[in-house]
Amino acid sequence: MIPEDAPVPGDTSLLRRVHPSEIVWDDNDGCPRPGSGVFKDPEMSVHLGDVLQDEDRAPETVLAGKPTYSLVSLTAAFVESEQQEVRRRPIDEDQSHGEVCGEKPRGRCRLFARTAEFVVLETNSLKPEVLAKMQSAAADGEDAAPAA
Amino acid sequence: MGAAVSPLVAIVPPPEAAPVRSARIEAPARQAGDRTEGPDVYKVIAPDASPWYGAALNQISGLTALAVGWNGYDAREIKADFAIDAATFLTRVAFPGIAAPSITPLADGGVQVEWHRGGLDIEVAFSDEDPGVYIADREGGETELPLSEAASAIASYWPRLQGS
Repeated sequence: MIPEDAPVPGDTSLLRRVHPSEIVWDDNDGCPRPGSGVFKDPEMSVHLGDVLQDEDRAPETVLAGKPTYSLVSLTAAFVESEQQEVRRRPIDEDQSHGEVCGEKPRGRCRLFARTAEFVVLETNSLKPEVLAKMQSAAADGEDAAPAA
Repeated sequence: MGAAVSPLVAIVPPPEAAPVRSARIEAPARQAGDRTEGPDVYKVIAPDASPWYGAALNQISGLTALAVGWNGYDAREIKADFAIDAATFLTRVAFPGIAAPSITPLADGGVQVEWHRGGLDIEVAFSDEDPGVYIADREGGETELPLSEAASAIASYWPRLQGS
């Protein structure tokens, strides 16, 4: 068991749930991503990957009971490079719970949104327009791929 | 040498890019659904808006159904005032030709309207905690504006926000 006051290694994944309505299509990058509002909270709840690993839990277990949600990840080193502090804050129902604390002006929220990687992208619950653009981008990619 | 281009070209929307000019309220659709009592149900019609306009209003309405904790943490319910503010803003910027924005709920009970295209990231936040317009131009520069300038800001970027 990882003690609450143990430092958080830089390569620790910080996982955050994303509601389907928070996922947007980015035409600039040609991919879906979480909206910047996902990362606005000055004390943003996350789930620490090292605790999940220690408990032998897959990241997807963070979504238990929330089948329509997706899951994104940032690393502790990245958020710390953006003047944030990562704190372990275990709660009764989730020992992996933590917080990313610090001011999050709009530019920083946008950076987090563009940097976050999907660990789980629940396509079945995406907004229709996001799903349509994903499918269109995938079809364009197939068209552009050289014939085998 | 090519003709000089007026700097105004980029910030003056073309004539067809006028905001929605006419919205009318149609007669009560009293028998809509299973309702047999309660207030009359009206329908707002804006015939010269972008095709996505009606769907966007429906999306905003849908956000008001989100319950406390909707984001999987401690998000608040979406406030009706912010839903109305977002809908009013869309009425002013749903120029024919402009691409559909994304509409997202905010954990503080607000609503955000955003475009990510044409090398721009534009976010218009209607919220208690951090209202305003945020524009990041990937060709350089970030700008923050008050909500009172939101519609004119969108008009100024109209050429880069056209739908494909």
